Amino acid sequence: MKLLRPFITFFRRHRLEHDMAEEFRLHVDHLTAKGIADGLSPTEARRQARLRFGAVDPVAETVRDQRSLHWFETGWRGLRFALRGLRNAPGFTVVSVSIIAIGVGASTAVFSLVDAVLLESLPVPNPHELRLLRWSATEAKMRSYNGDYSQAAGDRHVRESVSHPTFMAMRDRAAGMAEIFGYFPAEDIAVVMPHSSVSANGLMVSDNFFAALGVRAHIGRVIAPGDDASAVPNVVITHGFWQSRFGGDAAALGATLQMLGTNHTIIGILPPDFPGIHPGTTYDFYVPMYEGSPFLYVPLSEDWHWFIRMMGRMKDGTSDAQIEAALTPIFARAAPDRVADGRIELAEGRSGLSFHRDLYGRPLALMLGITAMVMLIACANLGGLSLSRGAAREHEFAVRAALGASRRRLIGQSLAESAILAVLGGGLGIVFATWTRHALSTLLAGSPQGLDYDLGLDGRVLGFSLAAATITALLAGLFPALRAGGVDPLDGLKPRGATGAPRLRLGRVLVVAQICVSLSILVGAGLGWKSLLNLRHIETGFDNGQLVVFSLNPSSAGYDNRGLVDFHQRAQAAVAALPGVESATVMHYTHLDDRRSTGGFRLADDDLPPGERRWTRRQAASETFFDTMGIPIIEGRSISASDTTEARKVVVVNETFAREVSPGRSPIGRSFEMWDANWTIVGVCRDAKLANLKEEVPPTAYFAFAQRFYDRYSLENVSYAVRTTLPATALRQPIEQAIKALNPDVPVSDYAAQDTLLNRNIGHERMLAMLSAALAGVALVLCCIGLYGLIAYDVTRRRGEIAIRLAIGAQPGDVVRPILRQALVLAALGIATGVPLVLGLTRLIQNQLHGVPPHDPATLVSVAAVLLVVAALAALLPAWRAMRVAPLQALRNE
Amino acid sequence: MGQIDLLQGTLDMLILRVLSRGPMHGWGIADRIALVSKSVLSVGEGSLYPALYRMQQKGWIESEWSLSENNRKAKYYRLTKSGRKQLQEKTETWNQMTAAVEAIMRTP
Repeated sequence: MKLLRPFITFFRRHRLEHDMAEEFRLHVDHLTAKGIADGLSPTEARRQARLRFGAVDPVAETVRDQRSLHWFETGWRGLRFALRGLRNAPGFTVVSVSIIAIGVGASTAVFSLVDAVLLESLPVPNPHELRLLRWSATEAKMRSYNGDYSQAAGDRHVRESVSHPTFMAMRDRAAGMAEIFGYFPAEDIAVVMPHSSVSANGLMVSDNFFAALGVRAHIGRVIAPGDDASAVPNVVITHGFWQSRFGGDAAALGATLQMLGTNHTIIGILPPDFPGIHPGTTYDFYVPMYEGSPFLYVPLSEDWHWFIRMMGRMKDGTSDAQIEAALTPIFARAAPDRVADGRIELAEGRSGLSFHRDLYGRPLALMLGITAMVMLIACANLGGLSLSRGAAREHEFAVRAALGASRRRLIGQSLAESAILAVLGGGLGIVFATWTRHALSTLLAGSPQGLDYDLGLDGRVLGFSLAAATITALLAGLFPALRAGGVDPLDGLKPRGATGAPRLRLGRVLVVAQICVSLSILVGAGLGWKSLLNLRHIETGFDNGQLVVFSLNPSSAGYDNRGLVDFHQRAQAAVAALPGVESATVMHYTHLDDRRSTGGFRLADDDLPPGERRWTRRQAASETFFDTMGIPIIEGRSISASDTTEARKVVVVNETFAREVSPGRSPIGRSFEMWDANWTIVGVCRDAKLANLKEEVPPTAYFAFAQRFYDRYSLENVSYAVRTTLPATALRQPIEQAIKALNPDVPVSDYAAQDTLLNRNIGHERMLAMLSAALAGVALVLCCIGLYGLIAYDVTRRRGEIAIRLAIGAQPGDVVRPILRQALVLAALGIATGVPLVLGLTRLIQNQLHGVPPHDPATLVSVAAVLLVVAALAALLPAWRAMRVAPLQALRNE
Repeated sequence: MGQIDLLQGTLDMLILRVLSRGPMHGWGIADRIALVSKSVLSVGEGSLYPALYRMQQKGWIESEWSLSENNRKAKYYRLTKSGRKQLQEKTETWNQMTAAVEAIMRTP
């Protein structure tokens, strides 16, 4: 019974309260009666009685405190009181909740993006054991290289691919220390199934790939050790491919996919949560790596074709340095004449590879930084608002303190309000975050490889946003709470109305701080946009507008070389004949699509030292290429229809090629060897951007398309460009039908407007520019709110003074001017303090900018002007209200 | 002599003692203590009611509404069995303590 008592008293507390009040009243009556009996007058007796009894509330409080669950009761009551307080100040509540919601929403969205791109580990066992294997060298001239490359610090070239023999040697050498596995991307492969064909991307993997990763099949089996030796054309498909192509039917197991002329049997389907080792990029199938596989361009045993990328899983106790030391000599032996100072380097493989991580890593970190700054501004804003509100309620707090509310109570209540705001704002923020995440995903899908992340709302992100909301609200509510607790009742009760309320120096500091930080964000966004515009206007060298591109891959259709040339010529003609098409051309690959083909050569009459070679980019062009693309020929002739397979092989080179390879002398008539054939230069064309906008135009050789199909050097996946007056969407169906009429086994893939490819080039700049503009907008709005709140409060505080001024004949202008001036002064202070911060921070984004100096004065000045205008606007409403103060009424309230 | 404030434990003991004579309402208890101690000890209402409620929570006393001697409504408190036991224990402790204090004060 004893244990239950506290709960009983809790539930009966209303009754108890009533009883207690009654009891006290009766006690006072008793004392009154005694007083009367002692000869006092009734009123005097009652007064004495009351005095003797003491203040009722503290006594009642002390009694209540005895109740064990009192803390809960107080909390409950405090919460309801806080709720009521917030309901009485709707403006403040709505604005505060919105601020928290926006802050939490924005930061959650950005954080989930950062999480997906940067932090997320592969869903395999012990991802921290995984490593990426790369090699670096001071110089590297391979005969044939297929893979990524980048420039590391100190002029070392960093590459990833090695030849198959080298891979096997390294794999053997590392056995016991690490499991090294290899892979090779096979992109744009035409996959022919009984009733349809589709273009898919896949990975050719070594037989220990899945074993080392620790991935098991969902249905069937994965490629396992021993499959390379057995040389059977099996294929493992991904869950996504299985769903979209087979509708999730288990009968897919054992079905046949015809790829590159060979029937591959599906032996397994992967689990849905395995995104491959390239998170963010979709791969559809995995095939084994065996000698004779149709996916190989060159036999595996050859050591001059470097195309195998490697990853490894470290065994217990092995260090990165050990592996690097063991494998570097093997690598150095691989090609001593081609690679200078080659070294194997291990890199973190926990999250797999991501083109995006490399591209987006820095910018995303930047975004996170900006978001953090916006959250800080939101905090300061909230703090300022709370301060104003707290100051305005000083009177109320004083009264409550005088009535006996403890200091702890007052602080507690203030914090309760903050807590409620945090919960409401946080909840709303999460909803808002869901929406922005969606928007972000869509935005990112239009980027180079199409960011394919599932920006799911996982526990970590949720926890982050709730923490953010709570910290924001608590920080913001802390100052007013402490202030509330420190109120001196006597002081607060002085009848002074609104005037005499504190000047809120801290509030001013907060507003200035917000403007200071916003300056940086706004300037950053401004620079980003300027940079983006510059990029868009970079000369592409070809006519970018009204161009549509697509790819075809007839290699599975069973044509021989002659047949392929014939097919492409017919396709080109068919597309050119479509209504709305001005001209069409076939070529090797699309421009601005991150495709490269590089080859080494020597001119027939070259004056290079023996053993050295020159390097050029290689493109294939039909006779309509230069017209369709809009690239002018400036010397000699273009490729023509007479450049057939039997004729002398010809090539057109660009200006840069002419300048570098044949300086001071026309290159026309000179020739060189490529792909075991002799090619003669017949023309020079204007420079045009190839792989992307940002690289300098490299020396480029445009080989006659029809002459590119012979022996084993035939082109497989090939692109078309079409110049049209129609919008891109309108042409898709006609093109697909035209190709289908020629051969239904050849799928049309990668259909896009050339302009889209251009945008993808600057995709990440676009994303950044848009994100930072959005964040800058948020920062600006927050500053406006903060400034408005402060000035409005100030005007209210000085209402009496304003009233007097107006009463003695001041013009409205005289009243408005100081208010406006106050706003502008605060803004100017913010800008002044913000400038050093801007100068420091913009230095960080220097290498992200194109054509814009980080300390661009034009941007800085325009942003400052915008801030001043916004400040003036913020002061507008309070100023207008000040003008309309009715002097007599205001004075009466004093 | 001025009015001496009572320690909480001591107050509890006094209240229990008063109640041991029979049920009593709040102000009656205060009056009784003042009366018997010849106004040396005065229990402020600020301490009385908290003490009463506290002891009620602990189960030493219980209360019920009734009519007082002059026919007015009043809440009467009365000792429970455990209250009686508490009174006994507290009295013993008090006696021990006063004896010890006295012994020290007496000895030169």
